[in-house]
Amino acid sequence: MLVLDDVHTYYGKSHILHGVSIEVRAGEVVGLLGRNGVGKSTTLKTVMGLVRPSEGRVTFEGREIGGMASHHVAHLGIAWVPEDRRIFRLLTVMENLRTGLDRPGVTETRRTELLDKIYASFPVLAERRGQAGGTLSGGEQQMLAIARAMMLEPKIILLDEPTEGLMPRMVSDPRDHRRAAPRRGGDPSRGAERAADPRGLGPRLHHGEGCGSPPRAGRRSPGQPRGHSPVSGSLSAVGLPVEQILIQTINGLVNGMILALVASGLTLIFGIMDVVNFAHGELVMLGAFVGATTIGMTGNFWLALMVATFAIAAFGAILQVTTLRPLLGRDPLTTILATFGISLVLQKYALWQWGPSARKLQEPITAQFSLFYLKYPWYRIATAVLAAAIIGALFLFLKYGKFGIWIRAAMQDRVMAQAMGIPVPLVHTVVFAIGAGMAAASGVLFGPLAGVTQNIGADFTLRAFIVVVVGGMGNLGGSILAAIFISLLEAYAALIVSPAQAVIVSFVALILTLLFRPTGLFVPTPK
Amino acid sequence: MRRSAAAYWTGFCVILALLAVAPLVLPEFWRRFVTEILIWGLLAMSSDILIGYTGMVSFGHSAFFGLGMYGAAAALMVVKPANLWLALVLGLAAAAVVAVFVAFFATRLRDIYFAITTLVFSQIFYVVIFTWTEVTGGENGLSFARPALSIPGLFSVPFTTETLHWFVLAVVAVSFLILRRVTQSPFGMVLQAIRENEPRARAIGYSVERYKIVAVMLSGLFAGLAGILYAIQNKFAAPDFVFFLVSGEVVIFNVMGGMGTLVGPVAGAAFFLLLREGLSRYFTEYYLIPVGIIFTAMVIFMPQGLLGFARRRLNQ
Repeated sequence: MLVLDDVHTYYGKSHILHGVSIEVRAGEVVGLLGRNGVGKSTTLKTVMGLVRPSEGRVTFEGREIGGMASHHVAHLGIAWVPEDRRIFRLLTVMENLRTGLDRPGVTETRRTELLDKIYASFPVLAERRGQAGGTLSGGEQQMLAIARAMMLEPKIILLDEPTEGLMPRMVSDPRDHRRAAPRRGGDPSRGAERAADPRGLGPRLHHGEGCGSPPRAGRRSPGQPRGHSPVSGSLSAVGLPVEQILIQTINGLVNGMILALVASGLTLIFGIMDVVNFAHGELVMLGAFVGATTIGMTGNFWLALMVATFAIAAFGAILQVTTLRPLLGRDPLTTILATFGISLVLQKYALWQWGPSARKLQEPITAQFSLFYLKYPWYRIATAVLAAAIIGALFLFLKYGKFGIWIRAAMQDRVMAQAMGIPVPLVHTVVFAIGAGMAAASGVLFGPLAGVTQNIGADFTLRAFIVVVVGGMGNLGGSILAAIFISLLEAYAALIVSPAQAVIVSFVALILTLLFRPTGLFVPTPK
Repeated sequence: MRRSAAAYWTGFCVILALLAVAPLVLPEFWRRFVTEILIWGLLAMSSDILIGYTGMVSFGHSAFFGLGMYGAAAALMVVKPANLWLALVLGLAAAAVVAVFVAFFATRLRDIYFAITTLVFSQIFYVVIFTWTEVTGGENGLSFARPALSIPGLFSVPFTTETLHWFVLAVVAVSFLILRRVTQSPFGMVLQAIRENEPRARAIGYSVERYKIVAVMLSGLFAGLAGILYAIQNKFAAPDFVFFLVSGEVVIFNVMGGMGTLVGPVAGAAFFLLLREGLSRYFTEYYLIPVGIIFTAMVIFMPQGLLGFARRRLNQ
């Protein structure tokens, strides 16, 4: 069934596997034994497609799989339970299992069956199905790792040190399940394992529970800006009328929501593929121009918003495939360089295509309401609400959608996600497209507020960077709060100095954040 | 080993001689062009100390360059008659102040965070210079007369295109020798150790922060020197040179030429400027479209840069 024939594998220059040949037949249990560093794990990783063999053949059911992308390997029916378990720590138990279930060709009844079966074998997991994987104890995590692998309905399961680091008395429970596996048509081949008393001590597993679970994410930071302006007598005593402060609060919130739309795309892209997208502002700019052109042709703002979002999302996907995919796994700094090059190209392209004069998009809502002595446009309020709606939709998508779970899994552990059959390269492209689309949407929304030139991109990039760093790199919620926070800061600063100088306030906020809370202002527990 | 050193110095002398003869044989436009390549080359070389040797990508070299420029401008505008050496001293002092500032804050951070912090610092200086119109001339910048080439008490002659070129060549050549010496010194070795493995360099007992601060200072001073030369050549200082796109170009020079080689960035600067010159004839102001595409392709396919690529070809 699985045949390795004279396989040689290298990590860089060090030769790890020197001609490994193994044959595993259906229904067989094969163990690999050996001292540390002999290449047991590497053998399994080679089968899984995580390491490319430089010589020799790996075949599964007569099919060559050496060097095949690991999500394809997983789809062929090979499941991998890695040495260090690699649970998706921020996903719930149920979501961890879903990473293996949400594959094409699994009917609803089949899913329930699989889940029922696994919950029957590991009742603890059923109890904890809503709990984050990282809060489980070691033994529970091991169960989850095996259960997760079983979700793929594998024909063969590769267990790497399944009993490593467990209390001897806990060892038995996963073992029982593994012995049960072949009877169900599975075919476990396993890595080295420790000899342990195989007698079942299932109920004892509950002993592990009480061990302190780490603090959960989501606590609010005291520094978080409140929705309403902190108007105080002392401020107005400085000579600033309360109305101005209120107006600036609303302006800050509106700008903050647009910026949040840009920054959440940027942080998502960084979080999942370690790409610092220097061209993100350029996508905003392109979106605004595409929107302006569409409005020019059709006169419909909402249509323009849709067209720009989808056009730029498609463009982002192309960009990701052509320039960023080859850079995957290299230093994040190279991605800064590559995207910087892209930003130059896009900026000059916009100049060439749309000319140097600023364009103002026609706002779809011209009604105004009076805010103190000002006529305040409803459009701005609508913008903020719409931006919030888009971000909310993104949250729901990430939380409940099948693809959202894939995105979150790939964000936490790219390699393990792919080994669970998630097409990670596709996920990367889709995330980049989503980020690009959100950037374009904010460009169109921003269009009526100020003139659009090819230079607004650099400004958006810089602001989005600041926001993403202040909010904590790759932290979506943090970025959104930081966007509002920074925009409010700038809005208030603009009361005292000129708007051009108000930018410095956000620069200073960034530097202070980096010095004192380098993991971000809105991260619950800095490590 | 000996032979390769001899070959190295022969090559160095030949290139130096060629550059020295250049203004005598080239037409006026290209004379100025070669001088400009040297100045940008010096800036690129200075950032190589950080990018190539210490592994810290600075996106803020425009701040050092620009402040060197404005420092020189201040000296040339305030003191009459304009004095070359005073411009040098004041320009370097201005760049040093910025460098201390940046070094103190930014060196506590690594990788992308360092890059973003340096970028943000340069933008702070840009905004200050751009908006402080009374002192800096704001958007229009400052223009001033070029000082005479003088050694106090000995002689004083006005710069011609040739003498300016030789002056710049001398400064750049000496800077190159100093930087080369520094990178080969024990200090330079520690910098490279930090690039290779920062925690280990720390574990051996080096005060990594202190080394980084000195590296940023050194890099900033030479970048400031390039700014002074540029101010003297072009007789103006403008906020555009403090904007982060200039820093981006410096990074482009490094990547194109080959990081961590000192010579590479100069070659990269020459390549970039030639590319710009050649392409802008066909693409006018849109030359950055092909240049950007070439640069992006080089990042992906030629991460060692021109020099690394050439070296590998030669070794084959």
